[in-house]
Amino acid sequence: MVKKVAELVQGIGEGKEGALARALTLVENRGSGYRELLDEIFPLITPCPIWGLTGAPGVGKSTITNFLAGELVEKGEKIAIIAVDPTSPFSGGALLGDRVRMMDLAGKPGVFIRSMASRGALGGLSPAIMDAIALFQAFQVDRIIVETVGVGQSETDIVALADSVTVVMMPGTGDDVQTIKAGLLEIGDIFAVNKADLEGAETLAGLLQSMISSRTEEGQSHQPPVLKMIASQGNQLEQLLQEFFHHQEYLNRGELKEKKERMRGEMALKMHLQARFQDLFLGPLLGSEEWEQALKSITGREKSPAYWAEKMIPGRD
Amino acid sequence: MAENRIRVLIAKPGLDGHDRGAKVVAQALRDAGMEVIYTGLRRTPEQIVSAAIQEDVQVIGLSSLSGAHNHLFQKVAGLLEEKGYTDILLIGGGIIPDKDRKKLEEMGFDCIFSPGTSTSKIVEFIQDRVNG
Amino acid sequence: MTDKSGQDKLRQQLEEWRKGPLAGFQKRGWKETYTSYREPIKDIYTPLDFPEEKYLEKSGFPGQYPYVRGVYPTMYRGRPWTMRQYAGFASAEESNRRYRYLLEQGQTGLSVAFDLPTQIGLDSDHDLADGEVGKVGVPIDSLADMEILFADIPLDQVSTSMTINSPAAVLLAMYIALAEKQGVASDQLKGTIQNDILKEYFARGTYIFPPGPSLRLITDIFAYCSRELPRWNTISISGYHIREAGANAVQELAFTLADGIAYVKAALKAGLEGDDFAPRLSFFFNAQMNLLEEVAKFRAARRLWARIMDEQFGAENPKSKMLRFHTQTAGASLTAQQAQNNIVRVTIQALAAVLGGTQSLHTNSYDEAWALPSEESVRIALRTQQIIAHESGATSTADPLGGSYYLEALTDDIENKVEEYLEKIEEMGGMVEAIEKGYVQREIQKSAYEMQKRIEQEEDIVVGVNKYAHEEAAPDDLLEVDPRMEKEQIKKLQEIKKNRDEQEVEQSLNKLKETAEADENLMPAIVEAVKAYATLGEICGVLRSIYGEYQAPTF
Ligand SMILES: Nc1nc2c(ncn2[C@@H]2O[C@H](COP(=O)(O)OP(=O)(O)OP(=O)(O)O)[C@@H](O)[C@H]2O)c(=O)[nH]1
Ligand SMILES: [Mg+2]
Repeated sequence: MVKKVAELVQGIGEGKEGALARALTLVENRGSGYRELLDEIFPLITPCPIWGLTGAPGVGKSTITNFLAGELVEKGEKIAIIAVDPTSPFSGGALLGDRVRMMDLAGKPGVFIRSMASRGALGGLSPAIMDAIALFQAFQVDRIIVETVGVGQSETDIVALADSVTVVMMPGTGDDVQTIKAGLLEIGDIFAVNKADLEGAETLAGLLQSMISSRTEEGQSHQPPVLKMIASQGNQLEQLLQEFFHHQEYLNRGELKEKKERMRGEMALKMHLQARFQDLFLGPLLGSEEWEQALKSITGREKSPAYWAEKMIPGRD
Repeated sequence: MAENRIRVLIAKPGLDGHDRGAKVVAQALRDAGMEVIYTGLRRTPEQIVSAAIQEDVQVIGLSSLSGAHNHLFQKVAGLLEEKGYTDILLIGGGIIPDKDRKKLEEMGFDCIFSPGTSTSKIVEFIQDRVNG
Repeated sequence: MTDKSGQDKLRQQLEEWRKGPLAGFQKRGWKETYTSYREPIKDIYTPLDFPEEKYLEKSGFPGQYPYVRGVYPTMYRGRPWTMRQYAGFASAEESNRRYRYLLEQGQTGLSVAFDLPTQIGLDSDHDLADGEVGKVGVPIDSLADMEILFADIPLDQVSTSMTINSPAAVLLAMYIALAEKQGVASDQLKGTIQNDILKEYFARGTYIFPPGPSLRLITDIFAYCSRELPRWNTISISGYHIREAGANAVQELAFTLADGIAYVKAALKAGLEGDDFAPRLSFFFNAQMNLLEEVAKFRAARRLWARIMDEQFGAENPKSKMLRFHTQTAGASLTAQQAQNNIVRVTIQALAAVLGGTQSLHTNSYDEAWALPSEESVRIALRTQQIIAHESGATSTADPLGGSYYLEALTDDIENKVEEYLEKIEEMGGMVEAIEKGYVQREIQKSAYEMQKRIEQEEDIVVGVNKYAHEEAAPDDLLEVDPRMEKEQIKKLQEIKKNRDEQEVEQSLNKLKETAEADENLMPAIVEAVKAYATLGEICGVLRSIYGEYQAPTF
């Protein structure tokens, strides 16, 4: 096992796609040796900007990603794309279709696309994404683009994950005041109203603009721009690229960047701890004698789950 | 708490636009708990192999109904061999006559499924070969 | 039966029958049955389902609005349907030989199948064409290939049907240029191009440009042909491939008619006169196994289109309201197992098309889905049509099944369900929007997947596949194309490029670009370009550079 990890680390260091791909699987599966792997590649990491794209299914995130990555590769950058789609709660399987919309990037040197299912994360981002980012940074990519479907928890997760987040919306899908209120405003550094060729884009953009203006605090120097675009025709995408760059510069100027770094570090630490707690404490308890005893007592209405939880913590009884 | 999921790439090499079969199989594999990466139409063998490597799939499923399977399927198998990825389970489907099937299976295909094969048979085959 | 008391009495006795005799027997065995679109089918149909007093309004007579009973008053007693068998050959030379043989035998209808690179507007030397040249039809790179394809065939003596969609304008332009070389006036040209781009986006996959520019190409063809090629059928709006992609009967009709509506709207918007182009619209449907449902589908299609053209578009010319259609038996229903059973399947499907009043029919060979059809199987396919025409009695009177309570109820039901779809699509902003949103694709995929699951759970039976199966060797002799053919075609292409006047090519392509940017009719510029031996790939390349390429939605 150790040998395998060493091989992967070496491969990543040498820029081998195959090694990176296998390493990504290992962390995603939480397979044996994954912690050693993450530990070993840590010194190899060169931080790079992480851009996030989030929004409802079908708003045009992959179409936009296709363009952004294409442009950046033209400029000579090495790009990683992580495209996240939800896992089916019924079967645990997933259909990962973002590559269909990233036609221009297929097989292109300098682009590494990885499709990931959200797996156990109940609508949120899989914890493995943080680790995937680390692996890509160890692989020396110049930029990482993360595409996530904006449902539930993942929207807020992406803020902790990415330096700059573009929230993508489109007219006519109930992307109205209701959903805007539901938290999207808080997370966007940039807002893209895509499919401006359809009716209602003007109204949606206007609405967004006014909500943003009214909530931007005095003295806050970054007011999220609202871009209307037609991604499928390449319209205004260059503009979006520039806005990403602007936001990056804005981050670099102040201490926000460090704050973001800290947030990411904290999240990763928390996630790893949670995973370890799960492995070390919860894992062995599941199905154990004490577990059965507790369940019997709870369903028999003798003692509460709260009581048992406290009692089951190692070293407490 | 390791969680291994079978990852499968479903691809349509060449220009044939009939994707009914590919999509039905993709859905069936998803419903059997696999993570299915679908590439869409008109992919070259090079693009398919590159995607399979990046996605680190255990299985590649190709579908073709235009009669170009001999050429395109062989190219995929050849590229995988050249790059040292012969451990990937390689399966195919579509309108493929018996003698081509035999030829492809000699060239590295693990199975060529004939029209009318039930999706549960394909699921079982993958599960057996990947987990077994 | 027309009076209310009669109906009440019938209703009452029906209830008694259900509670009594039926219920008694149901205990011994009873199976729920469904239409292809999953509507439960009743235990029995009666005059309650097709009241006589509605007859004139709903049915009328053959050759009269709303054309349920057929588009011509005489139907097959005047003239049987056209038996049109379509065949694809790998090279222009081979096809030419075949065409000349058919002409000698007295057949005047030719049909051309193109290979996939041609259908996608790529020259044979393109990267993506690798391995596909000549595979499902003839490769056409330039006018020179067209010259070989129709060598020694006077174009004013034949009617040519071309299965071509996205680059239809270019292939049609080549045909026009060739006619000019032969000294045949364009108003003498007869034939059909499929030219139905919308279904390519969600059912067949050989699209090039996004919907907007594609529709413009189509309306340019409508306009050009109504002036220059008045006898040409400018489009064949196709449900066939929609059904093959997994749609049910209602979806096949709904999405085909929605495509039709989109074309009519686009043409009107482009300033064309409805009664000028609408009579030249024709349709192409699939014939499946469910005999009565299919007959109802064809009848409902006619009534729906008549009503759409009349009520929605105010057409005046009766021909604008007549839905004329070609039918092909269902390729996807053929089984590789026990292949000869397919002869029976094709018979039932062909009968459905005839009882449904089709204008022309292709019957599949029992082995054609996967093998080089043998001479015998091709002959049986044609004989199947001839047996129906001469022996079955199905042609003895117009719409012989009309008036069957069940059939009429099905016709009404399909009509209603299709209308629901059409309304939904209208609400989305029309068919183009519904396709771009992926709605149409999802509906079809859902239906295809459910159909597959029903077969696997043996809810639906396919004889020889999930029941009555036995071990057998797979069929072996697939149509094999000599791989050298691709190389030869590429060599031919290089020759042509070497020998043509480059300056003329460049000028004509520049002119095409200007025309495309200026929103003028593209046909004349395309005709000029093909005459200069600009290649299909070059012409489509110019249009690609302006219009971009369509990107399919994820699923
Ligand atoms: N009309 C219009 N359609 C667009 C535009 N941009 C993208 N689309 C279409 O919208 C559909 C969805 O685009 P994607 O890029 O796959 O959207 P996505 O947000 O990545 O979708 P998921 O990954 O499935 O959540 C595709 O059919 C695109 O062609 C646009 O500006 N206008
Ligand atoms: Mg996407």
